[in-house]
Parts: sequence; C-alpha cells; structure tokens
Amino acid sequence: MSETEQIEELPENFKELERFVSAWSLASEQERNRKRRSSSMHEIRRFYDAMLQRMPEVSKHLNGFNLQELPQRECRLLNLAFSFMEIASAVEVYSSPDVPDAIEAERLTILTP
Amino acid sequence: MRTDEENRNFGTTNYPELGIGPISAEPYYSAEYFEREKSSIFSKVWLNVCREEELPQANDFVTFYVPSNKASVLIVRGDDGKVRAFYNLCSHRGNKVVWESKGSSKAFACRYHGWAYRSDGTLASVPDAGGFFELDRGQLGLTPIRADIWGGFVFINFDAAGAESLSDYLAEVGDQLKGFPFAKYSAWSRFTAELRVNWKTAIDAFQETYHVRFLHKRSLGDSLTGPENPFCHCGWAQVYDRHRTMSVYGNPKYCPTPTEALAYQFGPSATKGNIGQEQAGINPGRLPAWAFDAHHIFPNCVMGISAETYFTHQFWPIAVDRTAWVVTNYHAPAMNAGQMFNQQYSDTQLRDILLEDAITLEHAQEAIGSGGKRSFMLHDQELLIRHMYNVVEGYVRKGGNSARPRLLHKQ
Ligand code: FES
Ligand SMILES: [Fe+2]
Repeated sequence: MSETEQIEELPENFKELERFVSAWSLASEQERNRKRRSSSMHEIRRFYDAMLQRMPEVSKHLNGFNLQELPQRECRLLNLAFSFMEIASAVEVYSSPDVPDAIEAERLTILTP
Repeated sequence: MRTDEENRNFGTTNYPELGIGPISAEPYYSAEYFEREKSSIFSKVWLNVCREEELPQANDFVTFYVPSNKASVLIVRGDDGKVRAFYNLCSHRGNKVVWESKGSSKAFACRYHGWAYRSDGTLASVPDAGGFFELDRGQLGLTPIRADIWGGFVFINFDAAGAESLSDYLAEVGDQLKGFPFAKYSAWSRFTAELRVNWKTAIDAFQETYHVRFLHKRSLGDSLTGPENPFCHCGWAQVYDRHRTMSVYGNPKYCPTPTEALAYQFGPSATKGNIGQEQAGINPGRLPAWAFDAHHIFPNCVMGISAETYFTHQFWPIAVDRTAWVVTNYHAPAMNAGQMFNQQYSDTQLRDILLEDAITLEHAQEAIGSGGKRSFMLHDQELLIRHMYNVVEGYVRKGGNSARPRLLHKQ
C-alpha cells in the first residue's frame, strides 16, 4: 500500500469517502473555511452530496468513540464531517462557496482553543 | 391587519425621557465626539474582557490590547487564586513585559533589561540593582487596573479612582442573567476582525431585529420571522440605567435545512425556536415562541443567550470609524462527535450570519461619514438604540454616571 493511501484511510464502512480526505479532512476551522472559499461550487456539491447521505452513519459510528481516544482513521472522518458542517450552507442556503453580500471571510481570524 | 397603534406597542413611549424624535447622526462620525467617548466612557466604566475559564489555574494569564485606552493589558491569576489586571508595562523604561497572548508563568521577566515580576504584580528582581538611585521596590510593581468578576466574566475598569463596584454597575442586567449557568458552557470558538465602522454603528445592528427580514433574508430565512410576525418584532424588551435586554422571536414552524436538522438532533440552536423555555436567566418575558435574548452590557458587550448555549460580541473602538470585533460562541464541552457537529454547525452559522451584518455596517459607515444626514429616524422597535444613544449622550455631555438618565422600567 502506498503512503498516500495510508494517510487517507477511513474506517471500514466509509471507504467511498476516502477520495475526499486529502482535500477536506482538515484539522482547524480556519483551514476548513479557507478550503470552502477556495473551492468551486462543483467541487463543494460533489463533497456535499457524498457526505449528506452518509452523515447519519458517520454520526452513529463516531458517537461510539471516546473523543479523547479517537483512533487516526476516526479522527480523519471527524475532520471530514466538520468540513461538511462548514460547507453545508454554501449548498443549502447561499448557492455560493462564500456568503454573498458579506465581508470577505479572509478578514476574519478564526481562533479555537 | 394590525393597526399602527399595535405596531408601536414595543415600549418607546414608556420612556418619555428618551423622546420619540430623530437622533443626531453626529455621534456616528464626529472624531471630536469619539475623543469624548474615550475619556468619558471607556476610561470610566467596567469593560467585559474575557471569561474566567480562560485562566483556570494559578499563574495562567492572557494579554490583549485595548485600543481606546492605548493599553496592553495583562490578566493573571495569582498563586492565591485571585484574578488581577495590570498595565502590561515595565516599571523600568516601559517595555511591554509579556509578549505572549496567553500562557502560564510564575513570574514575568522583561526582555529589555530583565526586571522580573511575580504573578501578583509585585517586583521580584532587578538585575544589577545596586546601580539605581532610591529603588523603592514596593512602589515598582506592575501598575494595577481595577478588575472584578461577575458570573465568571472578567471585567476591568481603567478609572483607578472609580468607586462603583462591578455588581452595582451591572445592577438590573445582572439580576436578569442570574441563574444562567455560564460556567457550564466552557468550550468556546472565537473569531476576530477589524471593521471599518464606528463602534455604535456596529452595536446598533444587534439592538434591533427590524433588519432581519431584509439583510438576513438568505441566512436566516424565516427562522426569526413568520406569518404571525412578518417584520420580526421583538417580543419583549427592557431598558435599564445603562444596559438593556431584548428577547428575539423564534418561528416555531421554521423548517431547518437537512444539515441544520442533523445538527439540531445533537444539541441546542439559537434559531430553531425554543418553545416554552423556563430555564433560569433566559426568556424573561416567557415568550411562547422564543429564540434568544440579547443583553447589552454598556458600553461595548452584547451577550446572545439561548437555551444551553450563548455567544458574546465585544466591540473595541480604535478610531471614530474603526472597531475591533471579537465574537465568541460558547458551548457545553462536547461528550461525543454528534455534539461536536452541532457546535461546529452553530459556529459556522453564526459566522455566516454575522458576515452579512458586517458588510452592511461598513457600507453604512462609509455613507454616514459624509455628514450628509444630520439625524436618523428610529422605529418603536429600535428602542434599544434610542436608549443607548441617550446613555452615551449622558456620559459625553454630562460627564456620566451622575447625569445618567433615570428610566422607568417597562412592566
Ligand atoms: S524596560 Fe523592562 S527591564 Fe528595562
Ligand atoms: Fe443582523
């Protein structure tokens, strides 16, 4: 198995989402927001469609873990789901990666402890 | 159809001392007025700066810059557990003693010539001390700033001679919030930005919901409006001596988007219409369809409080048309992934909505700055703006506290 494949590995039942890992499994809110803003609607939509139908299972799977002891693969899946939370409104509300008629999100500094 | 009379029942006329006429535009663009606000307000009153949980252990500290007072401030918890505030300013020749924005340290050594201070602010050591003339160590600690804690919020007051306690200052708004378990929501997410606006232009957008249907037509849809409340009237409000509270209607028939609905399964939301909430410290008017309360802690803090979650804004004036903005969303620490999804969705949603406010405020400020309008019109629903305008005027024109308007309370 190549190194990239290992890095992008997700838990057993979520293999079909692995193609999104390198682009969307990002550890901080600032990075996820940056990714949202730099993506096309086409790219966001593909990620959204793939994630939306799996989210109930993703939640169910991850809810079985202690957040303090999350294995690597689950951690990647969690960050993928966080990116989904970040981009959902781009599809469901704004039909645009960024919020229209708003200050550019790049002017924000997003801090999470 | 509601009559005009019914549409003007929010309460402006309960406070005859606030008037019903237009308000002056000058406070929003006059540089001279801004200078007076800095000296009569920001140098005199209690200012909410952070949460106690940001410095949980002895020797934990945070630093930040308060532009209105040109002050770098150090907040530190001493060995005795007490939280103190100091000017972050060396007694030797004025270097900023602590450069980190947060951390933990038993002592602070100045990087310039090595003077060191303890976490209670006292001077610990001076290198090559014998070379100084009349070194009175007891007088050479960090200069304190008055600090106190209410409900876990750390407040500071730059007026060293001020006599009013924090709890007297908060008065009725403190009573209103009593019982809300702020400490329970110790997980937070924050963003900051510098806005090209007057600090009051910014705060005013959070003192009315008249704009929701228009400015937030995309982001908020009909979550805070509905057939029974088409113009997003606030259901309840109260103004105090300096502070004020309003309760925002939530549409019980609002249909969340698929992801919103998923996020809601796992936790609270300020937009889903929290029905029949009776928790302490929230929904004081016991509105049947309620989304959240907004408390305005004079001068520059807004707290949005919903069931099981809250957020704060702080607006720090930099110049008459520049404001540093800090938004923090608070949650109960997540116990599982689902709760984290809920919180992540809530953070993103709040951020998206506020970006819409921000652009409008910058456009407004740009236009206001021309001075082309000398006055502005206020709707009955904009009572809180009218109130703040009067409170600010009281401080700027009459020197504050003693002259502040005495208000009747709406029952
Ligand atoms: S300025 Fe701090 S030690 Fe000299
Ligand atoms: Fe708004």
